[in-house]
Amino acid sequence: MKNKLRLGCKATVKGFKNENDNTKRLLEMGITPGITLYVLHTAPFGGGYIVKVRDYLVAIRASELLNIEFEK
Amino acid sequence: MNILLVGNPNCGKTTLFNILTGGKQYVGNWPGVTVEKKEGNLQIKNQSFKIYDLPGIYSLEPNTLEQKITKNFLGETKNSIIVNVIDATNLERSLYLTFQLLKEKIPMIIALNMSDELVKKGMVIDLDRLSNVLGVPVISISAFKNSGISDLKSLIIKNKATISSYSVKCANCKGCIYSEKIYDEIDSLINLCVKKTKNSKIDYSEKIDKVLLNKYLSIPFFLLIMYSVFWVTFGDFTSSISDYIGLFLENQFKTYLTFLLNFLNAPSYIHSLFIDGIIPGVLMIFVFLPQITVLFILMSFLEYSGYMTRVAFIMDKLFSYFGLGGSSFIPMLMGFGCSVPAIMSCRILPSEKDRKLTIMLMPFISCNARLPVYALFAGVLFERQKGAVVFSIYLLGIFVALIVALILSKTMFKKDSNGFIMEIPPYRLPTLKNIIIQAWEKVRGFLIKAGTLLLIASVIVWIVKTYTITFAIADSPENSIIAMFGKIISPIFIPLGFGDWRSATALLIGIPAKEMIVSSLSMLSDTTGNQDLFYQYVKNSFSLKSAYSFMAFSLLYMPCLSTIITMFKELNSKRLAVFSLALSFFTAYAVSFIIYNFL
Repeated sequence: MKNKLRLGCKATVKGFKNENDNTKRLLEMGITPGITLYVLHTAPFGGGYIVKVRDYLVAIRASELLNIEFEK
Repeated sequence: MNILLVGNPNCGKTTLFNILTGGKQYVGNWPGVTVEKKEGNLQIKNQSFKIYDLPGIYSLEPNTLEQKITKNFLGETKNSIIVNVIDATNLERSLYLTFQLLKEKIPMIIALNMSDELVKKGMVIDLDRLSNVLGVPVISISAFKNSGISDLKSLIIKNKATISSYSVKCANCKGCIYSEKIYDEIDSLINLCVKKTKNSKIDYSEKIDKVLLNKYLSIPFFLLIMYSVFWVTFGDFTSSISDYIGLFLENQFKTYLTFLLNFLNAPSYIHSLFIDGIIPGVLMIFVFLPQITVLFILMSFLEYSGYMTRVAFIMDKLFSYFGLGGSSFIPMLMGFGCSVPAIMSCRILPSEKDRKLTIMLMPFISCNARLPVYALFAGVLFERQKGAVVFSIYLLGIFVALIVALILSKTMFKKDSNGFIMEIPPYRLPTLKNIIIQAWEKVRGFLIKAGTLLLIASVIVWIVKTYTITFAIADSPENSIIAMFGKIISPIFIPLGFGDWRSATALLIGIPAKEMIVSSLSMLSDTTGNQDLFYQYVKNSFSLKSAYSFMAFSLLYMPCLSTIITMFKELNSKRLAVFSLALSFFTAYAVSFIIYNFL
């Protein structure tokens, strides 16, 4: 699946492509299958993203965002 | 009985702890302000409780150091109750930890904090229903507004904390995603207990972020904000207060003191102790108290506002080129205040490598105690551009830290990639009271330091500059004990532009406390604490280049004694700590050499 996440878009989490320590952490922080993510901000130099999930903001790196599998 | 405050990072545990204990623990608006558990006493009527403020955690799984520590602490501490502090505006995520805590079978009370912000968000939580389902008392408080606290106290004293019989229906079996299961339960609980009464007003946090976190403007905005901080700190306002203090010392204080000493018929060495020792050594530093206080107030405003985590986010990619993560930026910004808590806060960093590396960079980050050096030299020699000059010194510190990080991460600390997952809190405004309390704490700390460490050091410096090696009174400081010694080490600094024995000695005396650099320079210049004379001395002894070189050297050469001790403790390796000190000295030498000779 092409993972083209742009600013302002939203997507529903399906799962994770690879399981690792970071995915465990993301799950604990509420990024679970079925939940909707909103991509709100991006850092300069293509660093990371700030996403809104469960009504709060969390900053994650691009690599972590790309590891999330989204529906459709 | 023990009361354990447990909750997510940045949910207001420390604010609550301060209210309950009357303490003045540092509060900030970023995840991980509290890195070490804090103990206090809570007195309700005539019963006394021990209360612990534990570091914020997202879960009890032993993924991070704090989570491991908290989990163990819960298991070890007998006869205790948990007060689970929850950021009510963030109920879904917070309940995750709550569900894990319920399983610990420790009596518990849930305190929904920030109830005032909840109202603004247009949400209502059905406390009774939540309490019924979870099987523990739930109350609504606002630690910030100091409301609901008496209800919490009465729950504690009436022993209302209960062990819940609630359990997540899925056992922690293999092959099922446990976190997912918990969140499923949370979702149904939220549906049951939370009602949105009205559409929330436009989120001001999001509006501010639209501007400050703009992809292209975020770094310019950050630089602009930091520049403004230094511009205000070293602006005309603080300088005029400084001058006023200087004049007061010279015209009023010294006159009355001389009068008093004459009246008491004090011997001449007592006169000298005050006029050549304590006034120029200790009281001279008070001239820079306005700058120290203003910088502190502005920095704590930034810290409290929630902007810090955003800067960490902005800097993440840039820092990754230097072998660091964006989260290292938070300890660095704290280091602008004092290196000791900054080194402690490195515990929030995601890996041991990040933690040790960032600790070793701390000596390069300019702390408040170095500020008198900049205020003096920039004020005397760079006049109009002083704000910009001091700003450049702070940037130089960060720049050197990044270069050193790059070298160390390529050699000693080989890269182990780890994630950057950080909660971004909403913007918050500190109350005036909060700022005043924090600022006063800072000023008080400074007064204590001036009255103890600086006083003792000044008396010692006065002795060694007044007497010769044979303990006769030196006819000029040139013949004193300290001058003899200073003249031995000063040649090392000739290539850096400040080979005079006074500057060399001042740097050496500055190691226990950085304020002593200016103190001892003031004493050794024989200007009796007269601000004008002292400034004139600095103007005559330094060129623009050598002054900048001296400032850079003071910034980088060696952390103060308490920082050194903290480094030894936190690095937990003598070899690494000694290496780090040697590294900062040689880096300082190299940087100052380049500044003086090639710029």
